[in-house]
Amino acid sequence: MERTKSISMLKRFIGLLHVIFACVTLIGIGFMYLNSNYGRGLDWLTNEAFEQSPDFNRKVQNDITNIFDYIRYQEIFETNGTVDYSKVVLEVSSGPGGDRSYTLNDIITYGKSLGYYLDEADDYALKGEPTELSEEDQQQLYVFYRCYQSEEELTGPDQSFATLPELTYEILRRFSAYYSIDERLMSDFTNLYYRVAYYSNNDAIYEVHTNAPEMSIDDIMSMGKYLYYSGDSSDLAVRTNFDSTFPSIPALMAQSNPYTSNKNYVVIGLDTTYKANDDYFQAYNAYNSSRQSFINGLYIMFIGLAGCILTIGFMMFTSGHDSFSDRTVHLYPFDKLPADFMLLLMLFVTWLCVQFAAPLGSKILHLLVVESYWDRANRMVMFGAIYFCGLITFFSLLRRYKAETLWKNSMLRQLMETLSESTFKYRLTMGFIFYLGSNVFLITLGVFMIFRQGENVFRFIPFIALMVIWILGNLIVFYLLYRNAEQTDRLHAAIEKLASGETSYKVDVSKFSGLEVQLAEGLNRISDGLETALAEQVKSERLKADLITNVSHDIKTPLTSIINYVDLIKREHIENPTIQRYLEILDQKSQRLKTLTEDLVEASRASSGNIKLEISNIDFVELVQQTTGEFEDRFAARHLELVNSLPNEVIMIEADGRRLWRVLENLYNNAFKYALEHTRVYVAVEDLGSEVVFTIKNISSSPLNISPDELTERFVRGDVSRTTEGSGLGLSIAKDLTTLQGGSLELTIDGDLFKVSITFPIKN
Amino acid sequence: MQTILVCDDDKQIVEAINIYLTGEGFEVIKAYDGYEALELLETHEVNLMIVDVMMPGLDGIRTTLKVRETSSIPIIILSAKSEDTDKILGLNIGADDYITKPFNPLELVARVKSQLRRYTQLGNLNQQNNSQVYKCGGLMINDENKEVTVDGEPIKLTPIEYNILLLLVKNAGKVFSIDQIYEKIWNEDAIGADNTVAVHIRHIREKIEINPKEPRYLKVVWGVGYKIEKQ
Repeated sequence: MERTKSISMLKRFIGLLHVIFACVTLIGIGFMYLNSNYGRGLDWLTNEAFEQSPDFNRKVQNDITNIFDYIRYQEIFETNGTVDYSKVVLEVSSGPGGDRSYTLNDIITYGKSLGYYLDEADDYALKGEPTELSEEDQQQLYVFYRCYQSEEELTGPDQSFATLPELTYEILRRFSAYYSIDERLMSDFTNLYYRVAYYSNNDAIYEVHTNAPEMSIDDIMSMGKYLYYSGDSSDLAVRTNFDSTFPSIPALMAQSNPYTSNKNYVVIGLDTTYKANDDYFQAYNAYNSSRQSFINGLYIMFIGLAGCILTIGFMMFTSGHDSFSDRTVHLYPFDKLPADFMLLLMLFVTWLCVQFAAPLGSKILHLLVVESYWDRANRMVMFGAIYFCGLITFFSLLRRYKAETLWKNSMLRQLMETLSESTFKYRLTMGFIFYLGSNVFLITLGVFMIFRQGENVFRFIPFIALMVIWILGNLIVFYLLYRNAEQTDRLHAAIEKLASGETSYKVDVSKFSGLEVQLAEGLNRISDGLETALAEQVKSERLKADLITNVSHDIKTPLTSIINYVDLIKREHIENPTIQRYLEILDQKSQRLKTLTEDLVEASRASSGNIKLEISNIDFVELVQQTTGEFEDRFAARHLELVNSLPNEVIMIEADGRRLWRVLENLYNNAFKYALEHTRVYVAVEDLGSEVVFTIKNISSSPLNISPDELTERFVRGDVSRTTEGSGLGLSIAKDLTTLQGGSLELTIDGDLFKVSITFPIKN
Repeated sequence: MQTILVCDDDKQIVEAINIYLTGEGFEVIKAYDGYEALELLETHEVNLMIVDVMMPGLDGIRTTLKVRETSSIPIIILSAKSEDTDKILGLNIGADDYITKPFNPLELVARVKSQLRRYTQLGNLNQQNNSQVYKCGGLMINDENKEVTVDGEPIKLTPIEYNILLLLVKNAGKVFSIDQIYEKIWNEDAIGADNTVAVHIRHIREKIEINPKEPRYLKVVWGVGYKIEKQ
């Protein structure tokens, strides 16, 4: 118990650890995510220095533009190297006689009055804006001259007109830029050095712009990063170790060229030791710290991930168990919810989290992160929420899997079981409603999505998923129906086989599912039952036949003595007529007993089918002739006339000759015994094409008040008094033997006319 | 005087057979089971044995097998078992004849005599190698003097019966249909149904067979025709 408790504590601790590690991972990802260098992969960590970063190149490019801007601004605002406030910067006219000119000082004063100022803290950026403009201020003035735009640059007539505040803003903006660049590049605190020189065709007249007059070209070129560009057409190469050649340089050079010659050059150098504390130095530091934080983030993420994987592994191993050795699974009440219901619930909870909790968490994060990163922060919070909901779901599923209740305890299974165990009618109805419902729902949802989302690709993915589910679902339904039909076909075939007498036929139950299994099993039981019954019947018939055979053997032995001793007495030549009569009766009856036992055995064998037939091709007409020949003398003795009507042809049938002889013998014997004396017995064979019919007709000596069916029953004789000899088995044997050989025997009684017909199929 | 060994567990039947055979002039030795029979065979000179199948101790089949190991005397099985299979078994293991119970005493005596005649006359028959003499088992036809004997007993046949029998014996084993026999004997085309041949055959059987219902020589192949069994 103590141990269990400690394990439980350990599990909780590990669980907590996992949450912490997950948070650590998220923080690590956050470090990398919320970074100005996000999106550049890992390459920049290994392969890139600050001087190779796009930021740096952008910065240099910017400064190159600044340099040339500065050169232009110098012309506008400076006289002899210093700012000349008395320099005329604007000449306008408000109409005839209203010509005015403004010095820089005038403009600055006017600008101040409008509320403009230079923010020293922000690189002398122009700030502020005019609050209220007087009518005079809004007057359109015709511009003669403005310092920032040459006459040629004024392209349209409308550009010749402007209000004074507009012009002031434009001038001040450039002045602020001039100031800003001056402050950055011309001060001592710069790491960027440049030298731009223009020479006229006359070498004595030239212009040099630089922030390092004491440095030679070579001095600048020896710096960490340098660039030398010559306007001279003989010097095409750009000598540089920057990553970029800054293709805008030629245009900028040409723009600021005061001469017509192309003897000019620009040299730019950057001190990559960053001695001066300028913005390059700051950018360098910022870059390095961002890089460091990215690396830290990476480490943190890896540590977090490793921790997550380890803890999740541990939890997967122990989840649901009380101790390490305990392999039984304990489920929380939550795990006892049906699996699919739980999934839906967790889906809903996740949705709730994403919808409500995540934005709340984002709001808190917004307090900590700069606005530009809010988007990414939101996504991270959302991911975190989904992750923890997913974690709970995953472990619940895992415990179910361990306890093997994942499928067992699910509504889907219950539904399927209910469906497969209920009646076909119910199943079909429920299945159809379910099918129809899901189809209508999915189609409606799909149509809704098309109309609602239009061509939005991201919303289109769920739509495609929906379509796939719909198509798959319908295919599954078709498959189930097909399988069902297949099983019905199989049952049909099995029933056909059973009905046609193949009682040993068995259905392969493993090929059935649902309620059809019971059907198939039922069918197999029926087949079993039939087979058993049949086997029992055959067995009992055979036992009966065997019993009769054995009994007849036992009867025959004493019967032999009776017959023999009666015969011996007869040989004593006893004169007494009474005794002679008695002896005659004894002789007759013992002989009858003899035939009776023999017929009994044969009848039982014939009726049980326990006879081995020797089927061969025989000529039916020949057989009748032979039989007639055997009986003619005996019939004549009883004054019976045999009238034959046989076709003069060979009629072949398939039968066992000796058994068929037995049949005819019985029929002739029957006629011989029961026909009225001095009558005719008609024997005929008729060829009916596909079958041959043999008939024997005689007039009965005693009235036949009995049905033909009864006559072929065993032990039934036409004369109820049973005075004549005969076992009463002859017709029964004849019928059974005929049937066994594939023929049929029919009795007809018409008054005293007794007729037997035997039909056999003719063999071609 | 010929000696006959009768072996049956039913004493009354043995006694009855004894009476019949003694009446015919045979000497009868009685045995009541197979072992007794085998002992008596060793101590007496026996010409023929009649043996029952179902007996306590050694049954008739095994007794017959034992006897056949040393002796070739005629053995007649007398059994209540009347199935075909039983008869076939009995004849196959070495018995010369098979009579079912209840039997006709006259038939029994006739068969005994027939077997003895064949057994004793076996030597003489071989010497009469005449092209005009046809024989089949105990049945012999001497075409020279139109004489027919069965086991040495002369048989009286009508000319048509004689011709039919001769045809069948000459072609022993071959089955002749009624029409074929008619055409061969009467030298006419067989026209339609006629029982003549079948009746004649029946008459021949009644004359040459001990039991016409179970013929030994002239067999009926039902639905096909008639033949003399090749022996």
